This record gives sequence, structure tokens and C-alpha cells, in this order.
Amino acid sequence: MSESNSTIEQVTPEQAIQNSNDGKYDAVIVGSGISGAIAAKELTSRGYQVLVLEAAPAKSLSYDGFKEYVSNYYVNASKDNNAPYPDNPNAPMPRSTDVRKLCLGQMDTQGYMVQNGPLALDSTYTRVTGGTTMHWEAKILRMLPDDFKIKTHYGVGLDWPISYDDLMPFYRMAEREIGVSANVEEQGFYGLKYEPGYVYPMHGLPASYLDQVVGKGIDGAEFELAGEVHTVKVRPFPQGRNGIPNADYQNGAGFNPVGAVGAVQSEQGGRCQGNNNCVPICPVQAKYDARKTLYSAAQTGNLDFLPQTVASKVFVDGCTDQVSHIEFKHYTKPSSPEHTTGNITAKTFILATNAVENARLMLASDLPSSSGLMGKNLMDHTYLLAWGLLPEAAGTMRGTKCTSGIADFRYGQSRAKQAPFGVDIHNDGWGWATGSPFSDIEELVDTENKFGKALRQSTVERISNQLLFAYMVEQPADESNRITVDPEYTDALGNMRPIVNYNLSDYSKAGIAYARETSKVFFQRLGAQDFSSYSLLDYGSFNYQGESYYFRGGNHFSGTHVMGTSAKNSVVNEYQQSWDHSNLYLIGSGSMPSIGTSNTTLTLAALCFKTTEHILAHLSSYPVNVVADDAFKLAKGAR
Amino acid sequence: MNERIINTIDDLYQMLDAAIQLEHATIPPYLTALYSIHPETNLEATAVIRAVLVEEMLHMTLSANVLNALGRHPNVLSEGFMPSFPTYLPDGERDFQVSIAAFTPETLETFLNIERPSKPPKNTSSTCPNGCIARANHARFHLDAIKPLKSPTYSFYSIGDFYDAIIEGIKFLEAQARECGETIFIGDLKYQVSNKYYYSGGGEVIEVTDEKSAIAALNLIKEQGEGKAELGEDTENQEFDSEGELSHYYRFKQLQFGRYYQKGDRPSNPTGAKFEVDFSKVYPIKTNPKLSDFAENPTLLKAAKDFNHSYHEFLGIINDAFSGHQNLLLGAVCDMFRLKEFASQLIRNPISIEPNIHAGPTFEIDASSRDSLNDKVGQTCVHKERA
Repeated sequence: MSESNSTIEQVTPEQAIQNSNDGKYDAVIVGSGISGAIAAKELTSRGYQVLVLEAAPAKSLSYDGFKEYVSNYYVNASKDNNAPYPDNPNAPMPRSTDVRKLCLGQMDTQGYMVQNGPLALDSTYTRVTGGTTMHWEAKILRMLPDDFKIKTHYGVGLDWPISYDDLMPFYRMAEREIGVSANVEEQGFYGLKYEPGYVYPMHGLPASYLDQVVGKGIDGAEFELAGEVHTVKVRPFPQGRNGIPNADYQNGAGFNPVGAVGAVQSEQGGRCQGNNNCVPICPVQAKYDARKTLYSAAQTGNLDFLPQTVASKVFVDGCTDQVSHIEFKHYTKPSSPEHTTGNITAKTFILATNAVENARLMLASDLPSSSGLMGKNLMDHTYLLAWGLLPEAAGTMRGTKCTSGIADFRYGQSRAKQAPFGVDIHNDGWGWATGSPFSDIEELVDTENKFGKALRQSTVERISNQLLFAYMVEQPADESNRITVDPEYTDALGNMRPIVNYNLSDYSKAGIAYARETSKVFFQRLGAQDFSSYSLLDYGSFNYQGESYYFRGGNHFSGTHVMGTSAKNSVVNEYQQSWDHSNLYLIGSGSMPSIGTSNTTLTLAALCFKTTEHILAHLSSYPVNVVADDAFKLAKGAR
Repeated sequence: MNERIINTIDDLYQMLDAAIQLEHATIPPYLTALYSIHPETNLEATAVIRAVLVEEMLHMTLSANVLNALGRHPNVLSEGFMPSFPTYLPDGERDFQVSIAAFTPETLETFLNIERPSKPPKNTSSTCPNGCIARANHARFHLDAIKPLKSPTYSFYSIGDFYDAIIEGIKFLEAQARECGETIFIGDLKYQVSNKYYYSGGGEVIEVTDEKSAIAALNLIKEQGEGKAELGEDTENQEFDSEGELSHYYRFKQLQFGRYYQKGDRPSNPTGAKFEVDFSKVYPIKTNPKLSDFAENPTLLKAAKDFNHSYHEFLGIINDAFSGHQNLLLGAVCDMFRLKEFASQLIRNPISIEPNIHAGPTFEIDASSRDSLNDKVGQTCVHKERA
């Protein structure tokens, strides 16, 4: 039925402009990813009128449109993070497949993100409705309390202006919105604390058989580091995907998992089924994505949704320093750059694109912030991969992507000298490192001359023994890692593209090198054959103390509009409110001064709840608008 | 005559056993049609068949909950539980056969027949109980559900009539028990399948503890299956049930129109989004395949036996889940993936050198299907209960 085809009613640019001129909008939100969707839901559910501008088409809001993404993924030869999502020259996105090894002093302008080096960064984000949560892995960790004060405690990076305790109530809200599956008793370590009696909305997902094999081998391994002993224990990760609801949630109120969006006639997604392609798309929508939140915002009737509309410039009133309006470019089809331009105004402006795009838009609007920090302090998690073959079949390839890992190197005094890291045990084998299972088939056919039944059998044997550790290494803030723009590099609509300058410090490299050493110990204890090799020709190749390594980006862009205690040391305050323009909020991981060793989504979602609480208090101070009768009729007619 | 069909608790047990059998009987045809569609084609048809299929699974579970609430476990491994295809299901005056077959226009027509909401003919013979008629071809109906208490002469007119008889029986027997200060709902709550383990399967499962919840469960089955619609009166809004869901009949009807219904539509004229149904993007399965069809082809024969064995084992898991081990439903998800894999091996391969006829699952479940599986494929699914 038609509900299943258009879950959210859309407005036209003309209607949006008319509504804007009539003073309808309490807030305009740029971007429909998790930050934009949460802000939209929080404001609309309290009766405020919100316009969301989304750069991409609204296709994924229908069940059929979503299924097309899944089909794209199945048929696409490349299985990278953005494989399901079609090219859109009007709102392009970075793809890891665009990245090549940089030559010293040369820019690579092939991909959407211009790489200015010295190291090439293959991190991506997804510019579709629902944003990067469409492709995210949905491991959903809180940051450690220690992570908020790394400058004070270890003399590296930046401190937050707020603490873990300040964020605790907002973490709970984020865990409810995303629908997190975890057992609280398995999570309280290294200072992580929860309110007494707290339980996650859903029970933890079961650990994979591979996790159990690895745990049996390496649990109890001891490492001495900076005078402290780190004892290894394989632990399950909290997951942003549906599991068994916990009847004790919210004092016995329970939790109702949110399934597939728009699947009116084909109910799905109530629980994770263990498909192993969570990244780049969960075929049954058991994994959380921001469309679920956006959909409930639309149910309030207070949301206007305008897709295919790229915010192109932010305008500031010279007298008041307030944002006066946002200019947008609306296109009718992705294949053509033809577009119309319009202006939108509102009481509050919320940029929720992501750390790269928020900074790109502000810099393209010539608003580098009075601190000069817009686009600077770019951080990402740096990944080192280590892969080996276990002596026995361990059920590799049974999903989800990653169910357990090691948290025992995330903390400690060594943080003064080398970057801390978390470790993921990958249930999808060597895929990330070698392109397995496709590369396995190539090798078995080309070099071992296998075919038919023998090929099938060897493929199974080879893949079910694969083990890959992904080490997620913290990167502290560094102003020289940054996003800039240059009118020379633009997209199809004439919007300036982001230019990334990226390097790894010796602090990061020391962490990576230590990570590699632990992998050797793990493989040894597991009796696994170490297959890790780091080619000098790899685009992420670097050298540290005579050893070669390569790194991969973690897709956790952050820090580009960092929050702090004053307009001098930061772009936004603890509410993600611009110091320079009080009716402007830059929300998302761009505000984070440090990212610790936690995937950024839960923390940025928690920040978003904190911010919307602040915006709501601000909006409620406005006098109620009395709309003139004729203006009301006009607005009504325009709808 | 117009008398009550269920008069003793044993009558009620028998009718609920039959209900579970009836709900299951539609699963093999729907499953086969669904799997016959080429992957990533006919997205809308796939979604519609799947949606109906999972609701049949819900109905089976709801019926099991009612039976368990009465203090008796279902037995889906009993002799004759799996119909022999082609088989007859009740459909008013004009009976028809249900087959294991590919998704074709004819198959779609059969699905519409299965789900067609029926109105008993006005001249129903007065010698039959409520909701029943005497049929000339009575002997050909194999399913117990169709013949009230195995009656040799009359049968239910529609599935709705069948459930009405059960509801009537529950009301009668519970009222009788109450007079003695007792209840027929003596089952232990621990046997009720709950939403903790049952999910994404056509709606919320209802835990049955008393007359009220039993009737709610049975009404949900009736309503989802037939909707509130009565065919032939082209009035507005009759396709949707009280929760705004389309009945099965109209869900399938959309596939004939190539267009979705939306609220306010007349049955003859859906006005929602259009889509294409491409019957050429379907594997041409032999209709009602039997193991004997694969005698010349050992690989297919083995795959067909593997499928039957796995299906048999799967029914065993369902049996255990309905007998207090509902946590087994977690692992059953993996088993469903395995069934699909075995079915696909058959469906995607021609039977002989004739490329236009493909193999398919035979659903011949009996004692012989139990012990035919090569142990290599029987890897157990790793799962762990976290209660």
C-alpha cells in the first residue's frame, strides 16, 4: 500500500520557502543522519515546527527503495562501505575505492575528498537519507570516564569541557533511541559506570563461536605496560541492533524493538538474524539506522522533509552576528546538475551533516570561526589489521560482523607515551585486509587450480579458519590534521569539496606498533599462522622504528568544530552552540575534543540529546507567534 | 440441525490439533513459490508472499498457545501432519487443489482461492452443524481440519467457520467448568510461546491464560487471514482489518493488479503505487515433485532428501518449542536459513537434460525422511540463551 512506499511526506522547495517566509520554522536542520534525526524527533515531539534539508534523495524511506540498496550491494563487484548507495554527483561521498597511494607533495583529486596528505585517509561517510548509520557497523560503546580528560591526565590531545558524569543521563537516552543490546554486568570496566539498577533496552547478543575459540586461547594473557599489568579478557560489545528485549528495562516497562522502516506489509527487523553484511547494509533492518528516528519525527506531523536539497551557504547578519538564513540548491535528478536556489530561515539553525561536511559548509561560507579552529583537529580512529589462520574451523562468517573484542589496552598510564587501543574480533574473516572471500576464490582458482567440488570444499576450509583482529587506535586532536576548502575543487552543483590534510603522530604510531606486538602473542597462543603483511605499496603504508605497517581509516571523523570552554579555544560550547552565532548549532562528532577508544556514534548521539534539551529551553523562551489570518491561509494553501 | 460441534474437551483438543495442521499446510506452497522467484527480482511479490507466509507461522503458534493453555502440547510430528501434495483445502462451493509449485499466474490464482473470504451459500443444508456443508467430494479432503471431528459426511465451509466452531466450543466448555468452580485453562504458563522468542512473524504473539486471551488469539487468526472483507460488494475500505492491515486475499490481489491498495480504495480499483510482477523471473519448478522424479539424478535426490530431513528436524524443534523449550526458536532461525539453502539447490537446477523443468522440495515427511541425511551438512547452529 502507499504507506509502504512513502513513509514520510515530503515538501517541495516552493512550499518550504513559503513556510519559511511565513515564519513557520522553529528550527531548520541540515542533514538526516543520526544527529539530525534525533534533533528533529526531540523538537517535533514537543510541538515545534522543523524543516529538515537532506542532500540526498528520499529513496531509502520506502521499503522498496531500501530493498534496491540491498540489491545494489549484492550485485556490486566491490563490497565497500558505500557499495549499496548510488553515485550522486550532486551530493557526492568519499569512497575507499577512490583512495590511492600519495606521492610526496602531490594532491590526489580523484575522489570526492581531495587528499592533500601526507598520508591518504580512506575513511568514508554516506550521503543518503539516514546518513552514515545506513552503513555503520553499530557497535555502540560508551567512552571511558578517563577519555574526557586526556590532556590533564596524560598531557595529550584536548580535554572535554564536560565529564562522563555529565553525559550519563544522555547516554541512557541515546541507548534507548538506538535500541542497544548488551548486558550491563559485562560492561562495567575501567571506570565505566551506570546508574544503579540500569539495564540496557535489550539483552546482549550471543558471542560468536569464534569469540569463544579466541577467548579460550588468549583470556588471561598478561602484558606489562608502563609499570601496569594488563590482563586480557574477551568481552562482548554493546550492539545497536535488535536482540531480545529486556523485560526489566525502565523499571519493568520493557522495550519494544523498532523493526524495518516502511515494511507495512512485510514485517522484518525485529531481531538480528546473524547476516554478516551489517556493513554496508543490514538486509533485514534489524540494525539501527537514523531513518527509524526520522520516521517517528515525521509521525508527529510537525516535520517538513525536503530531500535533494544541498545546503550551500550559511549567511550571518553583520549587526547581530546571528545566522540570518541558509542558502540551498535543490536538484530534480542526481544525473543532472540543474538546480534551483532558495533561502530558508528559522529561529534556530542546526548543522547536522557530519564532522567533514559541517566544517566544509562553514568554511565555504567563509565562517572559519573567531577561534580559527573550524575544520582543524580532525580525528579518526586509526586501524591496524592483523590476520591469521586458526588451526581448526571456528565458524568464521557467521554474523554479525563483530560480537566481541578486547578492552584491556584502552586504559592506563601508558596513555602518556603511546596511543591506547581497543581490539575487535572480526566474524567476517579476512575481508577487510585481503578482500576475502573473493580473493580466496581467485587464489584457489589461479594458483591452486581448484575447481568444482574441490574448489567449494577448499573455500569452506579456508574461510572458516580465518581470524582477523582489528585494532582501533586512539588519535588525539592535532590542529594540523584538518579539513579545508578551495574554490578550485568543486562538485557538480558548484559546492566546494572537502580537502583533507592527514598524518599520524609518533604517539599514534607507537600505539600501532604495540598493537602489532600483541597480535603476535595472540596468534602464538592460539596456534594460528600469522598471515599479516604490510606492503610498502599500500596507500596507508608508513614506517615506524624500522618496521613497515599500514593503517586503515575508521570512518569516525571528528573534532572539526571542537567544543571547549571559550570562544578562544573552541568553535562550540558544551551545548554544541556556536560561540560566534548564538542561534547556530553544529552538532555531531565534529564537536568532540577527544574520541578515546570508542566508536563515536553513541557519544555524539548522547551529545545531541544534551543539545536538544538546551535548544528546547531556548525555544520555549520565545513568545508564541500570533499568525495573521491571511498569512495563515496563504501558508495553508501552499501546503 | 445447527448444533454445536465441540461438546467435550477431547473434541476441542482434536480441533486445535487440526488448526495447527491447517495453518502449517499452507506453508510448503507459499515457501516454494517464494523461493522459486529469481533472487533480487519481483521485490514486491516477494514481500507480499513473505508477509502472508510469516502470518501463517503466527497462526500456527497462536493455535499452539491455545492448546497449551488447555494443558496439552501440540504434536507436529504426528502421522499425516504433513499433507500429501496436491491437497484440498476448503473453499466454498468450488474446491481446488493446492500444489507445491513455482510462482506463476496459476499459482497466484490458487493463493487467492486459499485466502478467499467466503460467504456460505444461502441454501446451506440444514442437516449440518454451524458453518458446515455437505460436499459431494467429501472423501477427497485429506486434512482433519476440514472435517469436523473426522465427520464422514460434512465439512466446514471456510477457515473462518472452523475457528468460529472452536471459539464456540471454548465458551461452552469453560462455562460448563465454571459451574463446577473449575476452568479448562489448566496449562502451565511456561509452555506459552512469548514475544521474547517469537518476533518479526506477522505480529505479536498472544500468551493464552484464560477464555478472553484464547478468543483474542483465535480472532487474530481469523482477522488476519480473511480480513473483514466480503467479496462482491464493491464498497470502500473493506480490504483493511481493524489494525489497518490488508487481509491476505487483497495482499495477493495486488500482485494481479501490479498495484498497491491504499486506504479508501475499492477492491476492483487499487490506486497506490504501481509495480511490475515478472513471471519470467521465476525458476520453472516441476509441480508437486516427488523423490521418485529424481531417481535418475543422485545429486538432486540427495538434496531433496536433505531438505526433507532438515524439514523433519525443524518440525521436531517446533515441537520442542511448543513443549516448554521456546528458547529453541533462537536457533531455529539458522535452521530456516539452512532449509532455504537446500531448497535453492533443488530449485535452481534442472531435473534432467530438459532445461525447462527444475527440481523442487518434495515435502515428503515421514519415517524415512528422518534418517537420510549425510551427517556433514548437519552442523549445529551455535546459539546461546541469554535469559
